[in-house]
Amino acid sequence: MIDKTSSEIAVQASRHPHISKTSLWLKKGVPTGALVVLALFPLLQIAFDGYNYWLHMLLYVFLYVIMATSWNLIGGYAGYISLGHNVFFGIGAYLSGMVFVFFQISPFLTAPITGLIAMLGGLLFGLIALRTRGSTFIISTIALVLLVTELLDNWKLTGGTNGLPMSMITLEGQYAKIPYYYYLLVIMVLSIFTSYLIRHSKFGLGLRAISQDEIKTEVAGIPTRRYKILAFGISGLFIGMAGAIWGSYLTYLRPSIFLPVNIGTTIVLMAILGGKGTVSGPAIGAAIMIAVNEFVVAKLGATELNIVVTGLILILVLLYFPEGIVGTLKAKNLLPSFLDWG
Amino acid sequence: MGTLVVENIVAGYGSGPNILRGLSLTIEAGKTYCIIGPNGAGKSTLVKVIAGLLKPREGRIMYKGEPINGLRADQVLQRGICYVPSDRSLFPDMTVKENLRMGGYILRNSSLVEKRIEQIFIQFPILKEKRSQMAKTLSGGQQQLTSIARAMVLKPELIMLDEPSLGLAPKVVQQIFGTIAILRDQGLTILLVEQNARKGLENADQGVVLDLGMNSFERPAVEVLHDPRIQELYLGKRSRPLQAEAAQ
Repeated sequence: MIDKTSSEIAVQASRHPHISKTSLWLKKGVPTGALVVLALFPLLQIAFDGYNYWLHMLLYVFLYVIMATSWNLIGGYAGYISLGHNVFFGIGAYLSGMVFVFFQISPFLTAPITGLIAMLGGLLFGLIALRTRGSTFIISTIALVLLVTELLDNWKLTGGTNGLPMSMITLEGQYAKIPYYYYLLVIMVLSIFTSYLIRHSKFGLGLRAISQDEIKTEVAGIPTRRYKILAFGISGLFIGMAGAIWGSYLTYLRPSIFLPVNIGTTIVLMAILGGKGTVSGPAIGAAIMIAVNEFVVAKLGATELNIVVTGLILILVLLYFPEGIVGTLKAKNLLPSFLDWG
Repeated sequence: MGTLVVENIVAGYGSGPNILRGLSLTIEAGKTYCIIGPNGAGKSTLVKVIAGLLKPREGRIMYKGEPINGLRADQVLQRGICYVPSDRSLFPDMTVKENLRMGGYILRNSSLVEKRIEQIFIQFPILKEKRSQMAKTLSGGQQQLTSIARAMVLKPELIMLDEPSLGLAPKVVQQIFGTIAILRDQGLTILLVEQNARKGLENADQGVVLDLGMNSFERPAVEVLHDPRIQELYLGKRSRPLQAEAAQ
């Protein structure tokens, strides 16, 4: 026991005092470098063409990083698992898409407003559903997705199950993906930055307390319900924006693209894989899961087998990283400093 | 000034029976009270009612001349009454420092909270040493200390400790009572609920004996400590009911 304590002190000591200049440089340099590379990447496509596949994959990663990071605000920090976060995705896509179809206003302009409306929707839903907790809450989020699906499936204005076609962006194929790329990149950076700010704020401390023991948190003087509703709302903001952009990117809106329950669960899986409750975890989880899935599909084809292999990999990772990749490495003090954002 | 008056409190849990059945008690500022009594006497229930965690069915609680029964727990906290529950109530997956910050959550001024935490670190260096460690990795005594320190972040006037020695080794119990002595020296009003009656009374000014949630029998702690009937009570032989004594 004594040995353990002293070794723990040693670990603390090695971790905390004067962080060396190189590690500080790495901590800031690596994320900045990655961002610069991502920002410059489309130049390859502009100059040489032939990189559209990679642009598409990165767009896909950005989208899921945004969703997993946003989900983490309520699901990771506050511990309220929502399986229906793709509802914001659908709301964003349909709102902006309909405005585009009926009023010809570009989703690039309406996306921020759509995000805000998605956030309002989140606050409203949270106001009702966050009276419950545990499995009841989880089921209520699934019910929300089913409800919105039902609505969009049967609403003539949105084309029902047939969906709503939108005209394509007026750019040559070589450049068509680039505006979407930068837009989603910006939303992604904003969502991660928001997550970082919340993680290091008093609000974030309160949310994390809620995830551990709601009654104790209440006793400490935190208006837990208000906090949860707010976190739920904010988590809808960037997903709503991303939905607007994604809808325009696909040029087609259909409930089956945005609202299947398995999109909601994929978001959760990504966050858990990377480490829910950490800032960088959900982003890492999303990137890894998409990369693995793409690799498996490339090797095995889009058969049922790829799902089995992806599942196996997930099981293996979580067996050895029970708190997710970032979460477990952090708990063992093995996380590289450039991924330790709190 | 900071007198706490409990008047004819009746309280119980859910739709269950009354645990406190018309209890009255006066807590004077700056003194240390040790509440003892057999299991089920309502010791913990009393502090929970004062802390605002349990609404009394009848009766009222006055603090500084104002009623505080019916206030929420955080409102009671705002008035300067802190409660340290027997399960320590730390957030296990937060560091010691974060737990202390949770203690000062209701204060708007976060630099004040940081300042007070620094003061606490000076007073209890072990907490400074462990500040980045998860609370769940601390020993029982360190957890109890963190729990008390967390209440101190609010600079309360009245602190209620529910069985601080619960589940601790004798040597650690000694340390905890040492901590309580420091709080006494700072002039805090302390309400101590203890199973370890001897230790508790030795460290208190006044002894309060609770029996079946009805009567409180209050004497200077030294007297209670040497009262043969109290010792009898704790041996489990209750030959004479205390009601008669309290009624006088």
